[in-house]
Amino acid sequence: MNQDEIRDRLQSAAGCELEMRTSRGGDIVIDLTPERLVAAVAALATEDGPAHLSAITSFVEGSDAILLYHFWLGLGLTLRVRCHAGSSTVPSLTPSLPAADWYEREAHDMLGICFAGHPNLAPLLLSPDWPGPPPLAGEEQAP
Amino acid sequence: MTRITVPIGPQHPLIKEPIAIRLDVQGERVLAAEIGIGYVHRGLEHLLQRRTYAQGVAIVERICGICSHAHTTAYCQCIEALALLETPPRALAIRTLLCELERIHSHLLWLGVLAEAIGFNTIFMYAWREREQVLDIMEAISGGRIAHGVNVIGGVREDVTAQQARQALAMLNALREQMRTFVDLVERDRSFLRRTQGIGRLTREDVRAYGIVGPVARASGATLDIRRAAPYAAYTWLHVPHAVLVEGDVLARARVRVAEVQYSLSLCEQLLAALPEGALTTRSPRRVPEGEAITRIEAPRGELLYYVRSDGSDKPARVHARTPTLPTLMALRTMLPGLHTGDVAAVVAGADLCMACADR
Repeated sequence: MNQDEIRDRLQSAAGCELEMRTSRGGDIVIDLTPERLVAAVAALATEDGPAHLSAITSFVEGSDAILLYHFWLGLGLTLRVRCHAGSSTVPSLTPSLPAADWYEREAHDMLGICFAGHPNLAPLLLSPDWPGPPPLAGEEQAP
Repeated sequence: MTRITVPIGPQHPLIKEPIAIRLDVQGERVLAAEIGIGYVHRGLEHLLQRRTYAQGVAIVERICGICSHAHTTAYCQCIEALALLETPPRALAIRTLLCELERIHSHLLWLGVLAEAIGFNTIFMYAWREREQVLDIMEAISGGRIAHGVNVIGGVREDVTAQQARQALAMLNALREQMRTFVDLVERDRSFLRRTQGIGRLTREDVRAYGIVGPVARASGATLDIRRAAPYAAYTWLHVPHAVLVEGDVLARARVRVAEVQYSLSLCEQLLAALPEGALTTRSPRRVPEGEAITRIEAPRGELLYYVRSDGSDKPARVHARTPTLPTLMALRTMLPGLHTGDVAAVVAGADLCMACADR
């Protein structure tokens, strides 16, 4: 899939113009709102199956949580989803794309992001009796 | 017949690294499998945010005891992309040489583990004996057998002398001869074929659904190999041959890996015969310009992705590594049901799992 085809598919799924930029390292980055995510990912499927999801990166920026969905479609594509503080729920990709399962559980472990519709958001890397807040969610403590 | 749950691990004498496998079985048949990980989670991504970029190289090298050089390669490449550094060609060639040597020793280690899991201890001994020779070459170049400390941001720390190159070529030549044993094993050995053929099948659809990468995906008809799809380091001027099969069982995974070892031997020979001249490093800044970078490389187990975000300081704001074991681990829930309990060990060993990589 080339760059133009990806943009066309995502724009028709989102129903609006989308801005495209290139990150250092070569991935195309596109910003999406959480509610457009599932339809956008579905639009990237081909006759071979769903798009290849490489990873989900999550981190905190100011008071927001950022989720980066890294795909490989013959070129690198990253969908960037911002969820605002107080409404940190994002629709889960897992029901339509099993590859997202553990990556979403990891983001839930590390940042406390809730994925609506995920079948089992149990801790993946942390112990079930982890006492503190999600380790990557808060302010940096002094070492 | 009663359905019972058999917990295996996380600590179990037959498991090398901690993983919890809960098998629902009825008689000798596996009905369902549930996988639990996180027993060697060390919070390394958090630690990376508290150390400088240069210190981070030593931390990512310790994510994994097998593909340590792959981790530093991906991490350094990511920082180099962020800081817009141009790595000298000799450094790229030495980096790639170590990547390919690591692929050979990782695949031979895996072959030994699989052979042991199916009770074929002779092959386990042979595979690990040959692997030692590769570790010897890596030790001669870097001084380290497992953590090599070769990569630095902007290049490599160790050079390969003409004498080291000659010795390495002689050892690799001998290894190429010894590989015949393993080619015979995966093509003709009746007991090996009977224990591996037709078990632990993954279809191409499973590969897409779970995002599986590396030799496991290529044994199920997928073609993704980052060295070919998005060439980096010395792969930009090397031709990387392809090993793709469609059967999707443990045997196909063995055949793909044995072929890949032979291809890696050729790549090492090409690199050693014509190492580019020039500097080993380029000067790297202590503070990295603000921004984010994503890099992918082909580690021995498949696509390894690194994401690094900089806020302009001397420490990364976020480092995330997606290791190739994770999707394969997820897919065990598809591979294990339907198996005879006696084949579970072969399928788990045949998947080439690395818990230290998965847990970070």
